[in-house]
Amino acid sequence: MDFNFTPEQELFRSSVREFADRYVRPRIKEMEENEEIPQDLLDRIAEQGFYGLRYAEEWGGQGGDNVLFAILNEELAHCYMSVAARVMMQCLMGTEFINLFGTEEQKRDFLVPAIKGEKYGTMCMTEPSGGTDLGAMETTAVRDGDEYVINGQKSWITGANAVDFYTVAAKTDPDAGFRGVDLFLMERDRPGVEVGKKIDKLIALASGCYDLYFHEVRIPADRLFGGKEGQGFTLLRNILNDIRVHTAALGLGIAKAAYEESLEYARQRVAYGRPIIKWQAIQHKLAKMRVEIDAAQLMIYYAAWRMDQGLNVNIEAATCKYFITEAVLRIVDDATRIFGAYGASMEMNIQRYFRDARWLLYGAGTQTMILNIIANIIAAEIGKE
Amino acid sequence: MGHCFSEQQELLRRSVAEFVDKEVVPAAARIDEEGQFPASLFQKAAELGYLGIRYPAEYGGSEGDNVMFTLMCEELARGSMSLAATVAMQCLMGTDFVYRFGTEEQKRRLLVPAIKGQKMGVIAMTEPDAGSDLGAIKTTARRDGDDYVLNGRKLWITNAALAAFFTVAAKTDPQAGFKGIDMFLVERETPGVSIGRDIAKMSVLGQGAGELTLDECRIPADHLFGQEGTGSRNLEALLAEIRIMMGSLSIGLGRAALDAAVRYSQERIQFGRPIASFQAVSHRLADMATQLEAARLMVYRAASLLDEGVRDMKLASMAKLFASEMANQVADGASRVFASYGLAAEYPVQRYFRDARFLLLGGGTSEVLRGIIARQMGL
Repeated sequence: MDFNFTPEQELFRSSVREFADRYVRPRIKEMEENEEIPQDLLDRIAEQGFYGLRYAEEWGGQGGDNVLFAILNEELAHCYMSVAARVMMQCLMGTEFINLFGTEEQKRDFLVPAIKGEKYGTMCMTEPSGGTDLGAMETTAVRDGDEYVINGQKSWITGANAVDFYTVAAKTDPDAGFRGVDLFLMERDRPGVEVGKKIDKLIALASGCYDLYFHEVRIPADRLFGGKEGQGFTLLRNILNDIRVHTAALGLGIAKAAYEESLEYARQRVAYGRPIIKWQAIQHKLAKMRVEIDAAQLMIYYAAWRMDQGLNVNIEAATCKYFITEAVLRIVDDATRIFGAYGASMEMNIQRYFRDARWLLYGAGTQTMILNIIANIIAAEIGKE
Repeated sequence: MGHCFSEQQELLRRSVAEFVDKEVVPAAARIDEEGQFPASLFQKAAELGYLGIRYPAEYGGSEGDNVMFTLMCEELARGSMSLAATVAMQCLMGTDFVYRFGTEEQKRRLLVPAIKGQKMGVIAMTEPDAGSDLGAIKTTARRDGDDYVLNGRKLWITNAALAAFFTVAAKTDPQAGFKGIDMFLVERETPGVSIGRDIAKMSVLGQGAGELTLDECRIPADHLFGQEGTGSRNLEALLAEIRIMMGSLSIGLGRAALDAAVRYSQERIQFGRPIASFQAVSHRLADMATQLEAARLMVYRAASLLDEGVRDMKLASMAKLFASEMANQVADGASRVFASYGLAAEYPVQRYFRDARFLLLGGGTSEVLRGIIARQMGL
């Protein structure tokens, strides 16, 4: 078993690192303060071909695999989580349903421009009534002639104000729990779409999340993904593992950044007559971080590799996401402690890693849900015996 | 040995709790968002006698005991860490040296108005290169005739921008480590004192942390607290009380976070039932409550021993270590129960989570405290 990255993968990693250091890093302070990613930066990311990394060349994509995509996510998050989160949305959740289930026309009108960075998309599932419990959603989609009429409210929608189209989860059968959910493609400029207030939050400051309202929004019936009603969860299942593995990659990027910076600080900071890295308590903190980073890296890239081999990855996606989430929280906690009072200083990066790491607690599912999923897989395994 | 608070202590707790519920809790989010010192609440605390709770009536104090001081800090911290930490500073380290070692004239001029909330007193120990390792401070105090002349730079000084007087740690013996430190009264208007800008930080936003520079700052010899050479010992004694106080702030924050999480878990419905009905949530809350209870017992035991005249540095250090770690774990747990709402500015949980980090620093980091406890154990 060869666990090494190939030279091409290493080259890709360095190129993303260089890009991030050159174009993203110098603007982090400005983006944190303005709580916005400038359009020219998003355009530059488009020029690199990142948005189409996963998509077929037929649509203008790069034809890249999950290992490369995980590298992209890891490296971007290592630099700046807000940008990484927006890019991942554009590369995956915001566009994937069109890629998998869209008509040729929809791919031409939405996927191709998205890959070029001419149009942006985002996914709309969460509501005040439910994040984890998507079956509790109240947004409805009612068939009316050759249209659907969408009514409802979404919350925590990444970039709702700045995108051109949404993949919206809505119930075609309000009484059927999660089985009544369907997915729809909707442009932002449809009458009745209202972007609500921006959610003031502690993390990923430049990746704004918004409330989003649909007031009698009409869309053509062929905007229903999957061709027939009741397909929402079946379709969603295609993407859940991807979201887990690649969110995990984001976490790994933050973990490494926190580890590297606290290591460097520990080498310089003197207390009781020596650099604090000479003290065992600090050394062991760094050693524990390293254990968890190495373990997480293996789990995440193994899951990505399995996806590329077309192998089932239900358990691996869940376990790697669970693991890195707990690990990155421990890592940023210890890294912040190494910095002492400077751990709270807004001039340093470490407070941003500390905050942004919390994303992992609910992005791609809470820890409680992930453990439920793992437990269900175990139950299915023993059921088969 | 059962632990009951006396009637007087319970009365105080109830009255502080009422003040906190009526006036502090509703203002806490705004204090944090605006990053402004809560001046009117600080004034109200003065009027209620909180600032002088440790001091005798002779100076306008309310003559409470250490347990009462601890109860007060806990309740205030439940409402707003920014307010609580500033009140605690004013009650304890910001004024204690003036009380114990100051001249009557200094007490009249500074302690009495401090207790009334008219002058703010803070302690100034930390420097850019010396936090945990106070023995490494570079600020010096050289005797010159009837004066001392101080030179140095302090950083992370609580409310430096607002303080009227500072209790400054400076070395009378620059060759010595910690034992070379003495403590001095430095008043703001003294020539040679300059206050730098506050550090932008992530936590306790209603309390500033600034810079104090002393450049050939000349103070009368009677501004030395106690005898030359005794400063470090006096500071050590105070540290035990500082640690207990940090423990009490930790309990207040822990309670606030736990209460918020318990309420939310009962209200938030997912999968047709309150999330509290899932073991993953209820067991987590049970662990949080257990940790909080253990911390409370340690902190109050240390405080009541102090009231019996026993200054137990090992217990005080353990109480601070355990309680501050507990507060951080409880804030983390609460944040998880709230899921994404745990990070929304609209809810207080993100503030508890940020403010809890502050508790890991004052009075010693967890690593320093472990070292102290180990030494107390003879290791």
